[in-house]
Amino acid sequence: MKTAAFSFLFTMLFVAAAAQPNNRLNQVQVQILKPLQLAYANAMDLLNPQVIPNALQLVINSGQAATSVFAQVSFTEPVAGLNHLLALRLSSKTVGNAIFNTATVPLSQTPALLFMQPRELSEGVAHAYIYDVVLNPTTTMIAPGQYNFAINFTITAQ
Amino acid sequence: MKFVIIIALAVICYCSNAQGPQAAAPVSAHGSIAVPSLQSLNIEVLQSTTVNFANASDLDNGIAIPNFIRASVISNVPYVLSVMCGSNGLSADGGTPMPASVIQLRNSQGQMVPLSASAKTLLVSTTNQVQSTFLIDAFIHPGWNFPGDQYKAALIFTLTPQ
Repeated sequence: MKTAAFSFLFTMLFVAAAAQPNNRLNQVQVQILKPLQLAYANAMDLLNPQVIPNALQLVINSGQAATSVFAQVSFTEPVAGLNHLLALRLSSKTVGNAIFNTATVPLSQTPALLFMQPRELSEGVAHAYIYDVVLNPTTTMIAPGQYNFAINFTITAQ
Repeated sequence: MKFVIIIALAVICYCSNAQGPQAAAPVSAHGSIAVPSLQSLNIEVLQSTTVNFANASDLDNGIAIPNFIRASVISNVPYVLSVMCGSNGLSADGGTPMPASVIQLRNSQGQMVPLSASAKTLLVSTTNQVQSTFLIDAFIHPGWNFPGDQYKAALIFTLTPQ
């Protein structure tokens, strides 16, 4: 009886392990290739975009489910004029067959779709996408200060 | 009894792990934006910089010059635009100066402001727009108190953050 009970327990645990989502797959990793330090040096900078080219690399290990990658921005001290100030622009891709929303995605507190990654026939296929970080021109006044931000990436599997 | 407990734990483990697709925890990239106080002012004279008083009527009534000056402002903070006349008035080749007050510029309230050696406010920003353009009318009225000559004036515009 004890043997049967333990056998059943181990069987269920193995089944449970198989039912768990693989944490290595369907995850996005971000690598900062260049420091995300932006600054307005003069008044004309307010009217022209600034770009950190090839600033970020996103890597996805695809599984057998289609995935969507989103991005949003949060400022530690949000003030008027910061919304949609930052954007991500696709610079290049190494191995990737994603379906992109648009080439340049403005960032706000609301998650914005960057791209959809189709499902793979085999698991563990790595896709890498390199993005520019764009500081858009501003039409509204922004109070002087140092504004720290975080660009947050999320991935959902369908 | 022990047998029953083991089965229950196994079932609990299976149920808690049989989850549907979920959003993975977000990853982040951090940075900063430095924003100092920034202003830029560009002044253009849109009409002739030489104002001729060719007849008596001009001296009687003065000469109005609509859209005499265009002021283009870029600023990320509220501001004040002021003007003053350099050298305490208009200098003359013949030596008799003319007071700066013979030149007036229209402010944002629509009033004509006589110039002087001290700064006079022409406009105060009323919107949060970074870029703005203002057209400023001028009125020059020396009257009959000054001899005929060439009179020159330097207008100095200042943009001050508030």
